[in-house]
Amino acid sequence: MSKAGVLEGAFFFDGDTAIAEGAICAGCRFFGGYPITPASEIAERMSGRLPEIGGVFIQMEDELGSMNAVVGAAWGGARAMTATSGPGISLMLENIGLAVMTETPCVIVNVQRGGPSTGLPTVTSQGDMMQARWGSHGDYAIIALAPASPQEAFDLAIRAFNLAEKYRTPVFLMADEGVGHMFERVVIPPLDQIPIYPWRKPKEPPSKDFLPYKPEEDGVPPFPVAGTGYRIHVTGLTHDERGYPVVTAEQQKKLIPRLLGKIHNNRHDIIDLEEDGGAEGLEAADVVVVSYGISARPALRAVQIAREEGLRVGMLKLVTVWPFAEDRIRELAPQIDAFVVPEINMGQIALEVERCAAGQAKTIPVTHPGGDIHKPDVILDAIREVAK
Amino acid sequence: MIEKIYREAKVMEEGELEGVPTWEEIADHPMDELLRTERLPHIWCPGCGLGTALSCFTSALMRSGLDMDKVAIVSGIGCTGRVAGYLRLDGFHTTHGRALPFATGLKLANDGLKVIVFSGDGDLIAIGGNHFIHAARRNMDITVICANNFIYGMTGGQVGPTTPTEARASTSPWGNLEHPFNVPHLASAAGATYIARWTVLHARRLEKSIHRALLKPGFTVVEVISPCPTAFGRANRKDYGRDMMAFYHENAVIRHGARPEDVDIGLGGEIVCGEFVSIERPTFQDRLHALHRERALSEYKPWAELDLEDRLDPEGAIRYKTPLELDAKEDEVEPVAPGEREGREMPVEVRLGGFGGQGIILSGKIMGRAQAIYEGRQVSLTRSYGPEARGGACSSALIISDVPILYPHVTRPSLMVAMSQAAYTKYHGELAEDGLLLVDAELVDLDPEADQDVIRVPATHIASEDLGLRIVANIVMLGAVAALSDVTSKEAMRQAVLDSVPEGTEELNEKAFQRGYEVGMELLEQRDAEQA
Repeated sequence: MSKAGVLEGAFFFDGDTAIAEGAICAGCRFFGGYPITPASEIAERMSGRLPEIGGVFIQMEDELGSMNAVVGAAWGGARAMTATSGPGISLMLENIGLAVMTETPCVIVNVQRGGPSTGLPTVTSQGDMMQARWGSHGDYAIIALAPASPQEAFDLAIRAFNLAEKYRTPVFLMADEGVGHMFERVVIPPLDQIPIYPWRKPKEPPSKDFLPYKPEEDGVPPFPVAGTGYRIHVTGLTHDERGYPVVTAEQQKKLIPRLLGKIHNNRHDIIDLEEDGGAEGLEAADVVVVSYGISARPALRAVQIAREEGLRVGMLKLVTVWPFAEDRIRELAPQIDAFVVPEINMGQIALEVERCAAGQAKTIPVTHPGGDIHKPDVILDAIREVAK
Repeated sequence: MIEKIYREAKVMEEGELEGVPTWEEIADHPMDELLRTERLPHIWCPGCGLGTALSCFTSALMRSGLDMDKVAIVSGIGCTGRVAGYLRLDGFHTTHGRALPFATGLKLANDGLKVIVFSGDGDLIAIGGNHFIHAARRNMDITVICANNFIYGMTGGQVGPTTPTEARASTSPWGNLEHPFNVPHLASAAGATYIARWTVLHARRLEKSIHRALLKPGFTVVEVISPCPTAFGRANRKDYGRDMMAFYHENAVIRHGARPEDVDIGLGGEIVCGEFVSIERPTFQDRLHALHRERALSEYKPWAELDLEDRLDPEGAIRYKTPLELDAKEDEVEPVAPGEREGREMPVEVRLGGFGGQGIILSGKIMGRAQAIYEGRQVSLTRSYGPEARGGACSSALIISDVPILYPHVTRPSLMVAMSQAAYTKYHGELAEDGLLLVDAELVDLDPEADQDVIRVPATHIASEDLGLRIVANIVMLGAVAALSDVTSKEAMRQAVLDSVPEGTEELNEKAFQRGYEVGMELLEQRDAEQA
């Protein structure tokens, strides 16, 4: 590999490489991971690139270790990331829970492949969407972004780091084998044009009375990383503002709503949607296709063809999948006839759409068990069927 | 609470309170600076050895001369896991078994920290056993204090990885069937640089060994044999802490330098204590620093050497701008003038097929790069290959377009290249009606029933006979593609070839490309002549 710093310019990258380069632009200087198809290219890229820019790559003994190394590195002051797929993400979930509980900023890339179990190692799926939301035990909120192209994978890798820092939370980048292995042009802007959310440095100097888990106005505490003199205690147990374990129902009642609230109450900042409703907006459509990640591409093609046929169809692409775009679905439901939801699983996000539509519009899942992406025709048929 | 007990005890003993110092007065202990006194009393049972272990650790740490703002302690789960919560240090109480990988990340992100893992035998050796051996193998610069009480105490006395054979536990009511791990042997086999074992009865020696472990580079391990009268003792007829201490007193033998494989602990047998291993071995950090010295660009100081403020300020030192040496040339190339593109119908679908090892995926990337970077088009490249690393069927498929590509899969290619019989057989049926098919003349026999526009290019023949290197057949074929098809200009393709091939092979590949182009032009002329 030639020597190169933070890149700038136009490149022909696969999604995995684009994610690695996006992370580097976002200041990622630690990667801990374990090889797995179809995410290994991210680790390979990072192993070559990080030492060039003074960063650290380590291949851990398994995904349990990888996720913990990432959480540890974040507390050591590094912007840290891991990348995995399928069985690997199942192993990481234990310590994604630790990252949620200890409010550790970090990024987890899931280049989704077909499951359950070893499933379809080399081909695509979006079967882990609900796992990303609910997979670790206990009640929590999470942020997940879904890229549809290598360029978006680059862009969202940066956004994932920014959201992680801003809300002190693990953030999922829910790519898939299709995006991860597809090559397209990726434009990397000059660094000064890439917005970076800064370290949430504590405003108070270290003292014995410092409360590491006292939230600031937005519900998020500052981040007193190790070695800065704060000498704080961090635990996966339910804890008070001092960070000390307090395993009572009363303390749980204070902590859990705050952890959920810091995501929920800031959802308008976190949720990013791309709407294509024509001049009159999605409200004027009869059918709104809701999709995300690679599925949004054939979905948009189907929408274009349907419009050529004179159907009133709009497209709502979920760039942020979690937290879910509840407000927008609730708003649209009474004004349209149906949501059509293509996704490469047996209907996961469709359940969310259906919940939020609350019977005011039909929800038509367009499922796919994985291994390939939808052909636009299949989605088009669903649109035609409901728009009749 | 403790103050009350203390004062009541005094009253019982002395009958009056006058002259008795207050709790605040007597509680000014030298270790207070390092303890979270507001969290005391601790949760450990009467007779438990963890208080002694913590005390030995604390005094060793105080004598170490380390800056306490730069010391981090990491624990897993269990009774010992609570240690991190009683020390006024940066302390991390992580998940069960995972203290070591957490500590690994912490240490790698901030090399200025002294990182210590203080956890129990179940946490470190059973659920965390894999992390333990791999951290030792890497020689991570971490000190491990492993409290071994032969049992899972916090969860109620279940059998553990160090429970002696035949010992009873709540999940081995008829006696333990298994062999226990010998912790020093495991650590030694995996590569630890310092290994010692003491019981909590050997408080002074334990403290000394912890002190040495803290200051020695690499993966250093101190095993502390610690009584659990509540869980292990009760199940094995040593109901009180003093019974277990008496057992240690009678059965512990000090044998410095004993071979780690000889220090197994059996039920009722001797407990060999001492310093067993002290060796020098390069740490992971040593090698990482060497890598940084060798590879890091001059503008990038090794991460660990930056000030923390700089590391945490993404606008600052971590985002140095550097001149690009690798891909900058892509920017410098002028895109092909729009006039040169005229006449090409978009979108175009292309399929390149062959077997693994022929460079089919690379060919796809070169063609894609030529279009996406040098001709400014939208390109989606997808790949498919079998599980074989070499020899299996593989293909690169490209869609080239002037508008954003939504559905990225090729279904009706108008240009196809087949470099193997299998690829020809599998794919030639999907060629568009007026599509062009290029096959390797040496490797593909045509289907006589297929009525297709086929040109046989002797790419493999030219590569092996004219150029002496069969593996450049793919580049010869790309030269022919540039001549025979109007999908991409020759110059864009040539540039993309030079960008994509390994350093030092540019000349050979350029020659291969040029030769392919010439052959392609000859074939084109022949065909034109035939058609005329």
